[in-house]
Amino acid sequence: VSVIFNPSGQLNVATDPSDLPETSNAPGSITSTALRRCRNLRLNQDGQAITRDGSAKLNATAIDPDIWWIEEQGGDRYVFAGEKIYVNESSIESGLTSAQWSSIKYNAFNDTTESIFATNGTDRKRLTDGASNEWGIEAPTEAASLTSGQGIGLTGRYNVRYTYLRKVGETTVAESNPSPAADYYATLSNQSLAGTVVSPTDPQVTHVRIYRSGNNGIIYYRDQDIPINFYAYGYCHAFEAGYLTGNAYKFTSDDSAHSSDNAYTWEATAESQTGQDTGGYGGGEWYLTDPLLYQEWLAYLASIGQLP
Amino acid sequence: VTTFTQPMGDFESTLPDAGLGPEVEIDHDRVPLGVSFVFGPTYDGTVFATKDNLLYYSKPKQPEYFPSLFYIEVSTPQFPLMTGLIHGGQVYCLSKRDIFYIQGTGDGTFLPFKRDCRTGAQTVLGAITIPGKGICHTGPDGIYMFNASSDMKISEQSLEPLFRGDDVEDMAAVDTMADSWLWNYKNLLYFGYRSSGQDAPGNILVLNLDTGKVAYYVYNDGADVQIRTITTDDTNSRLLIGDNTGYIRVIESPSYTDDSGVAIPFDVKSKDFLLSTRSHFPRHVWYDVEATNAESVTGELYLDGEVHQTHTITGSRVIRRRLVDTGNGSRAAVRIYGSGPAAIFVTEFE
Repeated sequence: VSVIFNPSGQLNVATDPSDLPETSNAPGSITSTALRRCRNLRLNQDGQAITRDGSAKLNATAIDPDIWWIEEQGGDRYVFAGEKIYVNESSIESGLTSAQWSSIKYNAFNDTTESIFATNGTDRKRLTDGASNEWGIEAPTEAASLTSGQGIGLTGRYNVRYTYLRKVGETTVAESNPSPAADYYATLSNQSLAGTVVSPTDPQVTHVRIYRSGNNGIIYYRDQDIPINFYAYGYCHAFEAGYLTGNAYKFTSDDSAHSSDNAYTWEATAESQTGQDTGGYGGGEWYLTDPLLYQEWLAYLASIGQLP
Repeated sequence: VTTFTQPMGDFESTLPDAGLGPEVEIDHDRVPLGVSFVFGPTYDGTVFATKDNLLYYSKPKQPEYFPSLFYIEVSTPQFPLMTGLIHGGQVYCLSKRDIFYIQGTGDGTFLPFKRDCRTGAQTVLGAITIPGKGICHTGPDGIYMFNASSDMKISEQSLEPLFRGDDVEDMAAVDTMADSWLWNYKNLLYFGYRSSGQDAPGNILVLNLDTGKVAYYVYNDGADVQIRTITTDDTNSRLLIGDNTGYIRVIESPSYTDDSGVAIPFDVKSKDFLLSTRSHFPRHVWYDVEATNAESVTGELYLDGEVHQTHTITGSRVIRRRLVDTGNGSRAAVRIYGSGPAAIFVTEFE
């Protein structure tokens, strides 16, 4: 009897091996394609079993082994592993919660750039072009502080709520919920409404949007967008404001220790020098740090009759 | 001249009431904390997020806005939602026990309907849509295929012992479904499961969705590769996995004939052939194997479950009559195994 085994049929480990199918196409011949074992062989070509295709590591150095999720976008691999997020196995964010992630790829209707939106229940991330940001924008929790400004035009009682925005070009792609309204309305008499809002800490925010009530109103309407990279004009006299247009740029750095601004880098450098005081760079308490030299200095002053 | 700056937080408004713009929107909530799975978008741009037994959804085409009241209760608290998917343009959510069809097209119209099913999904990757066939999902005892009219256990007929905890024919039994996964790539359905002693699924069943043929894969580059997650790299048309040692790997790649430099071991075995009225008295075996590039190929003839004759196979489909020692048995089978690239065609004995 001729027995022919053609390994291209069904793998079946649930049936008794002798009960697997066979055919007898000619007297004295038995043929079967049934498989009771098929390890690492692909069966996608009739009449043959072929060693399956291989595999290879893409990263030479291991990343965090707790790999929860992989999302591919534009050929880049975004990997959520352990407490980190990797792009092509390079870490772009750490300090996250190690938990099961999931994600989608999408973009808002007015945004032409697709992002990955991912969450693990604790962290909520938007990944775009290899950068990690929050998924959505947290609403400001503090109300604006209001006062009367130097302009004219408003009379009545006004209040403000504000939001944080992310704009792409001139398009508002995402906006937070609004802040609470101020506790008290500002009362104006042919004045402008001025105020201060809490600056955003989320780096994806590009603008703060001011919503203002109408006179005695409780509904808030869009007033203006303030870019966070620009600044209001500084001037010494109110009339100067009438001659200023366009965006203002801040060219000094805050010096909170002295309630002033530094216009030059050497100013900040000078103040950071060891032995300088904490109140500016006009002297220093070197006599405290080097008493021996101080004694010599006093002796010198006495020798020239300059010691009072 | 004294210069000073005002921080951007300062503003000044002089617009008359009539000059103000649109009303502030108060439904720009972020996706909730505690979300266990996100999926979508649907055809209208709605993104979905499962949290406990609730299904949250975004404003259409605005994935960063999840209004706080945009959710429906789908399952019961005892059976939180494990995963969700879009099948045939419709939204489905799965708990470990049930499948829910989410009817509706937007806020205010979404309504969950529990479908007649035998089980749900055991993990976030425990269900996947198979276009034209249904929703393939994992139960505690196997793999199921749900469509509108039935929920069939597709692993029952040929793979049942594995899900009952029995190692069969060098295939490791399923130890737990808790971290198993399903994935669809091309016309193949991949099911990864963890066997005893493994930290993550190291065994893969591969089902050809067109022919119904199943194969069993194990990746090994010195140690079994245990796969925590899997995805498709659509840009480069390849299948990616993340293993439990911190490596991202491309698998099922025609560019590679080994597993990171380690030859791929293979093994195939026939049924037990029986003759109606007498025993087998095999004298010769012919092997038709393409073994040119293989590291090794061995053929074995089994009689009554024991190896009766072993042959080394080499070359490109060199079909020779190979002698068999004298012996007989009522059950005869053929096994071919080895490592490296090979193609096994036909084996004949008489």
